[in-house]
Amino acid sequence: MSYSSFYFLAFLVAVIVVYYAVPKKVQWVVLLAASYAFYLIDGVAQVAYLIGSTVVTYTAAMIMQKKRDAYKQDLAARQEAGSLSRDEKQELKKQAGIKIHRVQVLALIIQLAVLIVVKYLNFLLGVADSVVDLISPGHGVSTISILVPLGISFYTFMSMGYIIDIGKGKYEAERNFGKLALFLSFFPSVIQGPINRFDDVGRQLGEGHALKYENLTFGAQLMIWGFFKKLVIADRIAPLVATIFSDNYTEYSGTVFFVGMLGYAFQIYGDFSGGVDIAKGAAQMLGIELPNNFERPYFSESLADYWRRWHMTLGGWMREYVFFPIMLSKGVSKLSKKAKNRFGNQAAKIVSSVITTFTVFFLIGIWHGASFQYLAFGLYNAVIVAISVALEPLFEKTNKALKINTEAFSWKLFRIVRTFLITGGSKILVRSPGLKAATVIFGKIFTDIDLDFIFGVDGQIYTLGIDEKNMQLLILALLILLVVSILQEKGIKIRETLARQNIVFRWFVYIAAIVFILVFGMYGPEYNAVDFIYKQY
Amino acid sequence: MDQIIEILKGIRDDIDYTTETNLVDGGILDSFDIVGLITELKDAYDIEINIEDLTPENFNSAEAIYELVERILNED
Repeated sequence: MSYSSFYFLAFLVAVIVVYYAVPKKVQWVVLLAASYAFYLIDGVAQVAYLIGSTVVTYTAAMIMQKKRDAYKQDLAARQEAGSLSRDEKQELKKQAGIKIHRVQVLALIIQLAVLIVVKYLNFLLGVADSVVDLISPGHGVSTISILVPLGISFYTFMSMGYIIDIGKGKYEAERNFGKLALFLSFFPSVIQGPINRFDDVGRQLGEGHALKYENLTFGAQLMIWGFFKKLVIADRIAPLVATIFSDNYTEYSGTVFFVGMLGYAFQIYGDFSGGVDIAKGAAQMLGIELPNNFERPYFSESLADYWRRWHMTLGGWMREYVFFPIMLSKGVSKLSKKAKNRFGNQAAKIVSSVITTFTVFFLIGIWHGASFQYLAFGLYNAVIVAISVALEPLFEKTNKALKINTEAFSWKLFRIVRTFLITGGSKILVRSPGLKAATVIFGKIFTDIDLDFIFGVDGQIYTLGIDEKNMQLLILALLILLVVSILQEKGIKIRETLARQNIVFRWFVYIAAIVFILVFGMYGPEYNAVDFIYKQY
Repeated sequence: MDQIIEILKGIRDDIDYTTETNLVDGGILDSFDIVGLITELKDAYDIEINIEDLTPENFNSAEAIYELVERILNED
């Protein structure tokens, strides 16, 4: 069931009615039942993976919790019996840590192994096939058919985060199996995120929530905004992007690809952030606040900044569970210290940043899928971030020498456009029909410029999937998106501001927005919109 | 406190750490600098700094870093 379908709206309304009708104590049971029903509708077999992952997560967390409780009791008893020295205390802590660590590692390996088999095995078999074929032609390795459960990348990351948190003793393990199962399966976010944290969303899901008018209206408004981004913007651009980045790519000029890149940038933003707004809005109607996943990423002034504002819950996950642990690991510390003693601070920074950015972006790349295109995507991001860290002192010196006012609007705008184009490049890498096509397209963008196309002299622009009327509508919709984004960037809370207006004006805006989406949204056959792009991850 | 300012000077020496209260939020130290700083603090004080402590508030000024170190030392 797609989040942008009428079925989902009907489903959500039914859940909301039951949810607020039952006592607060059992509200979570309604959500659990609804979430599993929602997941089951898309296929029965995949539920086995979700339940399996939940059982592993629950068991591991409970064992770790028991070991931690035992350690604490032991420590308290010994302290009462006589004072422990700092060394003895450290030793006790270390011993308990080792036991917990073993369980943690085992659970993480199981989770990762399932993810690797389901998502990456066929890719690896494909690579093995080409290698074998190279060595002994005619022979090969055949791929196997595997069911890829919906949202597996999302819930596996959520459960791994939880396992690591419990291992560290960040908070107590959830003793109620059902509540943990709900955290991993919550229907608004199970298919395409956000990647929730247990100490935030998990706790909220377990508590009761009273019906609040504000939650209903604000949630519905956020959903409308999500539908606008998805149905009016993303799905309107989809045919253009599909036409340009098709197997016929050799026919088009570089300028066409430049337009295709712009189109894809707005398509994927509208699609993914719109989907998350629908999820967040639906959750808010149930009194649950999901984390932000986007903070106007196209206003970023650097690539590192962009990754703090695009798919923020994946970035946050990587920062906490990959980036910092690697940076603080003994190996990297030692290495950067050596570099510092020998070559100075900047060298130390370069060494540690190269190791971590390459690891993180390798993981972000393959998180999206198993292909050389996503690997290239990760590498592209890592190289640019690492270079910008390495060259930072040089940039600062140049700016000073050229007396550039780094606070001026023009300078900021330059940085924003530059970052947008850099991220656009990474999008070409993944959207092109293959890595080879991507390199051809990159070459064309810089060499094969066709201005007639842009100004519509030959009318070719309207033959690629969007006619003139739809193009005008798209530009209008993008302008609305731009104005709203600028207001948000300035800290204006649109829903709060609207809530303070008179009732007539307020309802005029709501109804106008709904009518606008109903009239100008793009629907496919049977009134189902295009599938969400992030659904496949 | 002086020791912490010394360590900070080793990372970037063009900042007046006695008055600066916006080290992280102001973009003076990035996450790579913070990690370098933590390695130094770990060695200097023989302490463990957890990932949960890596918040901007704990690293925005020399004073805040000093308080963080004191807190961890007292917990042990």
